[in-house]
Amino acid sequence: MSWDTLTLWPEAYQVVAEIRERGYKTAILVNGDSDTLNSLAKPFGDNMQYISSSEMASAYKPHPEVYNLPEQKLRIVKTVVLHVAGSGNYVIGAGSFGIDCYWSNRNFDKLLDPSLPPKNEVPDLKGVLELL
Amino acid sequence: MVRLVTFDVYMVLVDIKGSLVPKVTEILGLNKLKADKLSICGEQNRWNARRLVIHWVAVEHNSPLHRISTQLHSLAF
Repeated sequence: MSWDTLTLWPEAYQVVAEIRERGYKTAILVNGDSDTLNSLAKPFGDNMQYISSSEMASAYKPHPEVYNLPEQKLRIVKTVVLHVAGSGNYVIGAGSFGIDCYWSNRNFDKLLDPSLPPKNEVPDLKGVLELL
Repeated sequence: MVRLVTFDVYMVLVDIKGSLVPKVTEILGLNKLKADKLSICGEQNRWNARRLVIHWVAVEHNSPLHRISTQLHSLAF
């Protein structure tokens, strides 16, 4: 299906692989159904370890129940989670829940609530490694 | 100290526009100028990708809804 075979951003695979090489755990945390997300995670192989979907939380981001999935499912407390967000709404959602956030802001959007800023904002994923 | 890095998928890991625009363009027979225009419109509206594609077709391409449904079925959404 077209939706299941989307092309990765050029740096995506390498950044995720390097995060794993450095010993961090990785997970998808996103709105969507498990089947679609499993397909989208396939190109990352073992480097993408977990999938946490809105389907599991019975809620959609930016609802806090979705950001609570790592603690609920993986027993990893929110204070040691870094969320990589793709939109300002999800930056605010993560911030209001108390999770540190990196914003991959490819469209140079503005944050609606500047009181919940990301730890870093870069138009691609390369800056994630600097936060680890 | 970070132990787990979580990722949004859409916009963060996958290039939705780069992946779907060529398919939409081909299937709907849009020329490049039209596809670029629709793409810009979608970015300005910052909608999620599924709605974005429907928006491209429904509003900008001015297609009747029954035709859109058939065309989207071809994309297997």
